[in-house]
Amino acid sequence: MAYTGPYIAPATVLLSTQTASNSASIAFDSSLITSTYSTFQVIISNVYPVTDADELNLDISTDNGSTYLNSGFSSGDLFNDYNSTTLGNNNSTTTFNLVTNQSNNTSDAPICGYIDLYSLPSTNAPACVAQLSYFISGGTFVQSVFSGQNTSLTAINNIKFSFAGGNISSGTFSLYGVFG
Amino acid sequence: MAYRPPSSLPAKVFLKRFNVGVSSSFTMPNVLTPEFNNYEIIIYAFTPQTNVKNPSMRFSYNNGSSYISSGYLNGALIQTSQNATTLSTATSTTDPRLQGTAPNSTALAGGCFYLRLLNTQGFTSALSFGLIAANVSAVRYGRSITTYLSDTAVNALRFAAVASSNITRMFVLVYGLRE
Repeated sequence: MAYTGPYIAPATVLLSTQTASNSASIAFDSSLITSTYSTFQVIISNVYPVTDADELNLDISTDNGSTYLNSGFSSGDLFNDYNSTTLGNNNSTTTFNLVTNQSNNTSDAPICGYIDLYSLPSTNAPACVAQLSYFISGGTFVQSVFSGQNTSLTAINNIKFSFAGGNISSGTFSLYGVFG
Repeated sequence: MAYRPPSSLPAKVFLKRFNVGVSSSFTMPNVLTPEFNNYEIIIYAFTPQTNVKNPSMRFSYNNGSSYISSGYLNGALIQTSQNATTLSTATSTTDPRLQGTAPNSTALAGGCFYLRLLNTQGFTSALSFGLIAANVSAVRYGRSITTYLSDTAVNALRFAAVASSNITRMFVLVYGLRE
C-alpha cells in the first residue's frame, strides 16, 4: 500500500549532473549554489584528463564565475599508494587542488570520489573535505584525503572543476544540496 | 504543511537493510542495478568470530553466480592505535580489505564505516572510511580503497571476514545515489 502520511522533505537532493566530454571545465552556477542549502556534496566518477599527469582543481567564485578566487586558500591532501603507508602531500594557496599527477591512460582507474563543501552561500569561510581515488601517471593506484578552506567571507555562488593543463576528457559530476 | 522544495529529486534512496547473524559470508545479489552508478553502504557492528580477521569484499558481475577472486588493487590504511600517529597497511588482490586490521571478536562497537561504491558500471572503485573497535576501550580509524580494473559492470557483493572466520554479526544499509 502506498504511503499516505505527511510529506517529508528529503534531506539531500540531486541538483545537477554534468558529463564532461573534452570539456574545458565543469561549473555549477548561482542557480544551484544558493542559500537554500547549508552544505553541498559533489560525487565525481570516471574522470580522466586529456593531458597526462594533470592536476584537478576546484575553484570557487563570488560573482557567479566571472572570476574565481586565486588567493586565501589553505588546502592540501594526504595521499598514499594503495599498498604503502608512506604519505605524500600536495598543497596550494591558490585553489582547492584535489588531485595531482592524474593518469590519462584509460586502462588505469579514473578519478572517483566524494567532496563535501561547507559554508558556500554564507558569510563564513568556505571549506572543503574530500576522499578520492585515482591512478598516478606512471605510478599506481592512490587514495587521498583532502581538506581545505578559503578566507573569503563573501558568499560563494559558483564552483568549477578543471584540470590545470588541459581539458577534462570524460567524467560525471553530480551536485547535491543538503538541507539544514 | 511540510515544506516542498521545488523540482527536487531525492538524491539518496534507501534500498535495503540486512541484519546479518552468524555466517561464513554475506552475499548481496539483486541489489546493485544499472539504475544507480553510485552507492553508499553503511556497515556497523561488523564483528568476526575470530580476532583480527579483516572485513573484506568481492564483486560479482553475474549477479552472484560467482565472485571475482583476482585482479583487484586494494589497500587499507589504518592508525595503529587510537593514541598513535603511525600507520599500517593491508593489501590484497583477491579479497579486498575494507578496513585493514579487523575489530576484535569481543569489541562492543565492532567495525563501523561508510563504504562508497562508485562507478559500478565499469572500473568500479570502493572507498571506505570509519572506525575500528579493537576491544571495549580501544578504537582507531581505518580507510581503504579498492578498484577492479575492468570496464565490466558489477551487480553483486560478497562480504566476509578473512581469512577463515565466521562473521558474528554485521548490519548493512544500502542506498542508491542518483546522478
